[in-house]
Amino acid sequence: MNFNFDETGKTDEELVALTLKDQEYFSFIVKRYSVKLKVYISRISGLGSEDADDLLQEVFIKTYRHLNDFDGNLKFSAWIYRIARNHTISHFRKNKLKQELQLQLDENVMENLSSDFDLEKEINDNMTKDSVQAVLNSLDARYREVLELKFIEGWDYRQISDILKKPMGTVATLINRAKKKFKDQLKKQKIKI
Amino acid sequence: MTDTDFSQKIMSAIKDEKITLIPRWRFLAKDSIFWFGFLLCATIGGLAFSVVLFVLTNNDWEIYDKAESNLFVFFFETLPYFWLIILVLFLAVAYFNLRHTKSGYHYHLLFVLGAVILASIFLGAIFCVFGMNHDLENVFRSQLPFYDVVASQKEAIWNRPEKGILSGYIAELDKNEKIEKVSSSVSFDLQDASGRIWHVILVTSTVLRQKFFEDGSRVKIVGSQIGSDSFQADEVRPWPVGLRRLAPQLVSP
Repeated sequence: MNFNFDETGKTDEELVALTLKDQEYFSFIVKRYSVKLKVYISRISGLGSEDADDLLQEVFIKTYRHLNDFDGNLKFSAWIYRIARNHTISHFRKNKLKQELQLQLDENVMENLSSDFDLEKEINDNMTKDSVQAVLNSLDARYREVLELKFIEGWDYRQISDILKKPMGTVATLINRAKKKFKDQLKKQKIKI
Repeated sequence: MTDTDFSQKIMSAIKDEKITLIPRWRFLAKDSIFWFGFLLCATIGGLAFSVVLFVLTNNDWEIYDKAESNLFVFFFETLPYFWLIILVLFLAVAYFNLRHTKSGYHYHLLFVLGAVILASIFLGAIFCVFGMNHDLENVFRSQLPFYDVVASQKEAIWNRPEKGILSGYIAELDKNEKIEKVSSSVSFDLQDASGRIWHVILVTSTVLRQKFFEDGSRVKIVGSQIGSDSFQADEVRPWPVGLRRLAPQLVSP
């Protein structure tokens, strides 16, 4: 490995180009994305730390094998998230896990969600992380997924389109519908609280 | 596990299991196959669409009342279902192929359908001009045993002499030479789809230079049955073929 290599100024795409010449550079991609992807996989799957690590290892190996398929017109981050998402979904399908993919939120997500989502009024101190999580998980998977990518992961429409492999117009429509359904559910839940 | 530990674990797995990159050509080949599939299916869809357009625009709408009691029934009876099924099938496969290309997901279903239909109209016009829709129909008719069953509505509609409509092949004109000018009447024998021979009389003073009006031509006739095997024609029309062959249109008194 080139131990003197400073990857801080390098873009993801440059690291990919270097990896195609020398596999050692792939370790920098792994370092850059391992935490983010583990959080993402855990969040969308509800898997524990060890299972998430196993899945993450498979995701990185799959990413490495498919590096020649990376399209320079995409952002690498969106591409590797797509691989992580698809691999997590197929892991659940392949193993015929009866449980559905369920979002697991952490505390710091709440602040982002309420400000980004323009839900200061709806999400207040009375709303716990668990209740928001329950509302999100009560939504249809396609709505839950776009809300998670937009308001928790913070992707823009173009990147969500690349991750989900759906047209941008469809993504925009899904997000609008999902927001409406989420707000409707929140109102219902608040009555119960 | 730290980031460094985890990355070392991944790199060790890649080396120990001798994991290699999948070569670029395989991805390119896969993408090319899907693009080729899309273009091929879209072209076939376009061809089918051209036939549908051709059939609908040559559907003898003005005489529907002779064939059916109302336009609605006539419309559904004469729809080219075979080609509509081919059209839908190939458009669906074209869309499936497009969605499996690397960048195909950017395009919305409605955009793809719109683009394919526009391209089909363009292709259809070309196919029509060169008479390929008619040629295609002939190929299908001769090669596919079931084709006649699904495509024979038109023959059925045009084989109702009691309602004043008849079609078939001109078996024998009453003159050996091609008709250039007639001032009284023309008679000819016509063989209909069932093989029955009709004696047809066309009363006309029209100058006839229509190329379709000769031995062996397939024609449609509007008139009235005047005997068990005889028919008086008011109009003789060519059986629709490609635009290339449609220049002459109508023979009428």
